[in-house]
Amino acid sequence: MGNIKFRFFNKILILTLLFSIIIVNESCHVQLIANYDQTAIDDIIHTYREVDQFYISLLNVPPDQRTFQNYSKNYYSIESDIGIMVLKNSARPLNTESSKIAQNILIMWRKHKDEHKKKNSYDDVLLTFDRETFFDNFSAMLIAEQSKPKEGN
Amino acid sequence: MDLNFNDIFNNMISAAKDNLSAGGEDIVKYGQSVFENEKSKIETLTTLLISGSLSQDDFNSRIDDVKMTVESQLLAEQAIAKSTAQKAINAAMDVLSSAILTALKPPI
Repeated sequence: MGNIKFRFFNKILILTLLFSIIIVNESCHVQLIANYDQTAIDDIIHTYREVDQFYISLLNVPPDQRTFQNYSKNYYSIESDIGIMVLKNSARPLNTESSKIAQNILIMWRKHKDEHKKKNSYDDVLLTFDRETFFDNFSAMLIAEQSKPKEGN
Repeated sequence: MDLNFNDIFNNMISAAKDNLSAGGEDIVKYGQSVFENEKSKIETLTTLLISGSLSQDDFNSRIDDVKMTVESQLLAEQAIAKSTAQKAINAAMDVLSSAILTALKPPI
């Protein structure tokens, strides 16, 4: 009699355990990083386009016309776009990597704005170099976002 | 109820492995291109500094950019690694729960 009771409870215990595994697995997949977000991809591409067009326009005018005054509006407008990108990324849970990359972009943008303002000129060599730096940082941001799992993965 | 735990664990490992190897390749490929690219930037900057085409201040500022860019690229690698780990764990857990569900189905 005792043996039958023991077997019965054993079976109940195993079934409960199996049901628990299913319920836990179905209801909460492991989440280590934020899910992929198409809006974030669109923001990255939009802001990068602004940055790259800015550098192309600078490269296409003679160096003596590259005064800070001629480009200040573009600087502030792009700074605002990058700031929004930082804000949106910081608000997403489990998104420290993308958020930090966006902050790096903002820090570098502000630094180069200040340098341009101080010198009131921009060399071809530095322009080409800085354009590449922003390309690499926006690429890193895009790669990070694209690697993120789609909802349910 | 028929549950072969050896088969289930082998399938779980295989599901996790598929995700890990795909993500691992991405990390190695990206890492190599990052270091090649940044190495070449530092070489160019140093040449420009030595030739006098670049001031010490501009050189220092661009070296700081290189550091920050490497940090951004390593963060992107970290995001790939986290996504890969997540996909692998969840793929393995899906195998386990689907095996249990199949075993719990009443015979027709």
